[in-house]
Amino acid sequence: MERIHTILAIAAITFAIGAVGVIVRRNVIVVFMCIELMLNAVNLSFVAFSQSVGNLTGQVAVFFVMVVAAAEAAVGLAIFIALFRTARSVESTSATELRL
Amino acid sequence: MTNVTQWVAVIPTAVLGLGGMVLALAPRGEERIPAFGALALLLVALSVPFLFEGGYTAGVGASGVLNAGLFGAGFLHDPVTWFFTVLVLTGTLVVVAMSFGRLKSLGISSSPEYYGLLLMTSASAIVLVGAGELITIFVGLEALSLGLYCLCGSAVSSRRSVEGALKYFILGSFSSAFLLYGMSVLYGVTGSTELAVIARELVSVRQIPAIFGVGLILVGVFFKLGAVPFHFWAPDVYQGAPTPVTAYMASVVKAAALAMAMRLLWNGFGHNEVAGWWLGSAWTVALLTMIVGNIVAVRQRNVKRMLAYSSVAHVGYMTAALLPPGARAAGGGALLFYIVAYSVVTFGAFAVTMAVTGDRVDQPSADDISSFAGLSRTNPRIAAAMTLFLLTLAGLPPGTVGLVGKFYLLSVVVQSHFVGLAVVAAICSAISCYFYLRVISAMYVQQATDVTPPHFVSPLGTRIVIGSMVAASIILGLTPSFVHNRAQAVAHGVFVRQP
Repeated sequence: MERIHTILAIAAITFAIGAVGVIVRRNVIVVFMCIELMLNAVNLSFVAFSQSVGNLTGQVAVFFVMVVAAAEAAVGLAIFIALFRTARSVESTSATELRL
Repeated sequence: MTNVTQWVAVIPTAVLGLGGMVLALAPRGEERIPAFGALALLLVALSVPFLFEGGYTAGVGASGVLNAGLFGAGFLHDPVTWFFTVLVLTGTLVVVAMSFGRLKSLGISSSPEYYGLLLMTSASAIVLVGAGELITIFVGLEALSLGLYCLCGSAVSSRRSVEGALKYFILGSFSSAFLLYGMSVLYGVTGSTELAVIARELVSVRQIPAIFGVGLILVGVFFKLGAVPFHFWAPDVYQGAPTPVTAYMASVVKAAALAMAMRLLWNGFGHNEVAGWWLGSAWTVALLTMIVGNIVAVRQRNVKRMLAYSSVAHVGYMTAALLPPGARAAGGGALLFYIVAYSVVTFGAFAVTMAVTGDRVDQPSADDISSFAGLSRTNPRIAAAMTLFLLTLAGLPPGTVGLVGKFYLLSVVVQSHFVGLAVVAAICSAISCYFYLRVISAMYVQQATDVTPPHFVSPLGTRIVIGSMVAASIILGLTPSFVHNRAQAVAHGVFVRQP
């Protein structure tokens, strides 16, 4: 197996772990960590593709993704704090006010 | 490329983005300062596309082929960007008018941040609308979404508002991760992030990874549009968010997502061979979205949830018109007209809902259908306006815009031999009459059950919005060709050519 395939496989596995984590975990902070894991898996695959394609666009994309992930963390944690203030918990099971 | 006027297309974004940042720093307490500041900035931004329309056609060469665009191919200054810029700015103007004087009673305590975020979110919506390259699309989409998460949770002391923001945030970031993964795969296969290059390359690359990438991107696009099976966030978020923000999501954000979908599906993956990859799954999504949206809406008691499912259903009709590979100019014209008509009546319906909810934002039952009982006696004019909006959404005669819009959409679908889809759409429209008419019957037939005095609140801004939306829907219904011709011309210049 070529090196690029190994890296892409690692990226795909990491992405899958993150996706499963988002679905099965109940603590919203852990869920958010799993989303970050997915984004970083994408970063890895961007870098790997950048090398195989032979241009720098993929590496530039990683910087943009990192900035977006940081902004997302800021907004996400603010929402979690607001959730904790109103519901006294950061479990997603406590957010059940909205339903039919 | 030496033409200076083409840079005009980025001025609205710059004005809103920078202005929004300054606005967010305004002193708290006095709502008037940030509201009028936002109004002024929006009017300045709105004057740009009208005064310098040439800047938006400079990108299209003589043969109808688009020149490179600005910032590499990051921002396309084409007529479609012009159309959606005007739509986004006008929509934001309406949201500002709806919000003015109501923020306190909606539980939003910091007006500068609210108006500032609103402008910055609209700036990102314009970036998304003009984006012609994957990274720009991602950044525009994420900036738009991040602003929306904040706006959705801006009533920080309300549990429902925060819960809506949380659900939107988790599911939104989850879907953007899929979108981004698809983008990285497409970049790996084609070697570029520019939609024009991708469109050319996709025909000849290895199919399996390319289809994988396109599929992942479709997941992200359908999530943002709120199509079934990626619609689960919509009802909760629509109900939880403060009502002006809900109206903003249902109109401006939906329009921006539609623009993104059109650019990706038609300009990026639009080649006949490539379109074959996603046509089947998009067909299924359109079908499911129409059926599920309309049937689940029947069960709703809460008007905001009902309107959320109704918006899901309307996304289904719009997705159907995204399909035909041979009729993109007609389909684009119909879609642009439909989103304008839909935005107008949605603003109206949410403005009325907000007035009826009044000062009872804390009560979960305040925006139930039962709150509309007897409205025709207490507020006959508002009840008549709501009747017009709901009939337009249903596509029944007095609301001609809805009828005409649906006619344009479905005629495109039928002409491209997707007859089955058009038949289902017609049946679903018939079902939708039930839940729209239920609100109307509550207003005109039922007696007000509430013994407490009416909670109806409609400050000047709300009344202006309701009045102008009534006027706009009547004018659009009487002379639809004015907007439709324009939409058709816009779509023809950008979407008609084979990539």
